[in-house]
Amino acid sequence: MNAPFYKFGLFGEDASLVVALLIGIGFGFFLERAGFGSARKLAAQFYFTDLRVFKVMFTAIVTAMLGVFWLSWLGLLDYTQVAVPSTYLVPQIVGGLVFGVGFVMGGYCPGTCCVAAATGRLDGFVHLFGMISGILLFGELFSFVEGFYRSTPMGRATLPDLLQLPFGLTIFLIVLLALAGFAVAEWLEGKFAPSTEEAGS
Amino acid sequence: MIRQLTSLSLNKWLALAAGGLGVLALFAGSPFQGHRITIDLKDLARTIESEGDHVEADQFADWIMLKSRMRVIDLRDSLSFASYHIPTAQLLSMEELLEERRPKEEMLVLYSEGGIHAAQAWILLKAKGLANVYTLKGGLNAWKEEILFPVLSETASPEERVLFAKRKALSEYFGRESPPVRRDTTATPAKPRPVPPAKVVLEREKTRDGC
Repeated sequence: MNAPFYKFGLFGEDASLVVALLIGIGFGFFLERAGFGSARKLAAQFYFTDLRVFKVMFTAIVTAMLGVFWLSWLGLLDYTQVAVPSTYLVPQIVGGLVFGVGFVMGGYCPGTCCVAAATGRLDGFVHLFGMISGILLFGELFSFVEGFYRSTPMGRATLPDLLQLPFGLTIFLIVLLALAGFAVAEWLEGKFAPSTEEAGS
Repeated sequence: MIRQLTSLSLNKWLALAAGGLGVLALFAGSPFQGHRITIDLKDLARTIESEGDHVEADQFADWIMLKSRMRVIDLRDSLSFASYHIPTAQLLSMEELLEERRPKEEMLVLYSEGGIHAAQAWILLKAKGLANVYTLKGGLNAWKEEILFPVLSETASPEERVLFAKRKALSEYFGRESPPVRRDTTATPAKPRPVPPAKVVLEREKTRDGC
């Protein structure tokens, strides 16, 4: 049967929640194993001393991108059925800035603060509390910000469509960008990394 | 040390694999299995507005008589097709029409009972990049009214009489039947006599050879 399995009815809504839970546990496990439970390691990327966040995230993006492309090419995945969140340019830029400020200040993003809390870190709990409070506040104030929230809609925006490039060429360019990024990251780490004792703490 | 070397080589091996798949993606073509299409919406809108999407029954009849190089596609069900169809027409379902491989320049005229189905198929074929696709305006209903069973009111203008004379000739050609003349448009309209299907099928066989 072709993927996405849920869209093609391989399992129902109840089973999909179990699948989501398993994927979520897997996601959290690998974030923790990558060292993302520590705010120090996460914040280190802003000082170029430890760029593992950049490397892990870009690796995930490239793996998922190549997987989606080649599975679609082999006919095992119907790409048109894969959910792509709609783009609302200006509100998402503002959201990205809020996200970035929160990340720099607290040292966690939403996923990693859950990982930190799950591993018993107090700052992770504080961050999680702040995130849930923010979600509740946003929900309560939604009617006031809805106009802005839905402004500058771009629909299902993807890079090949925006750049008017063939899909294969876009894939190639992003892989190239990732490999170059990894090389630069390694170089930066070599240049800025402190002694091994500090980095390992 | 050996461990570090192993992990380093694995990283490089994975980077190499990603790079290789990225390079292959350049030559792999579209991964969308024909589901993804690009439509020039403005071009479609212009074609529809300028009425370049359909053909009138009279002109269509001329095309058939002139044995123009075109394929006529009947999108109705097989029972309706068996009871009557326009000469030279070929029965195809919407799905068959979409899956069929054909040159992009091939000229197609689509018709259905009233025209809605044909118009929907027109948009789908245009989206697939076909240039010469037309629908029969008004569908088979218009064909029957205008070509097979034309009527003339007594108050008809000279132009309408000329048009009727032309349609009468077409009707004779396509139906081998002389169309009835309506004497009074308001009171008792002369009931058009239906064309026996057998005769039309014979006619179809004759004209089909030319296309």
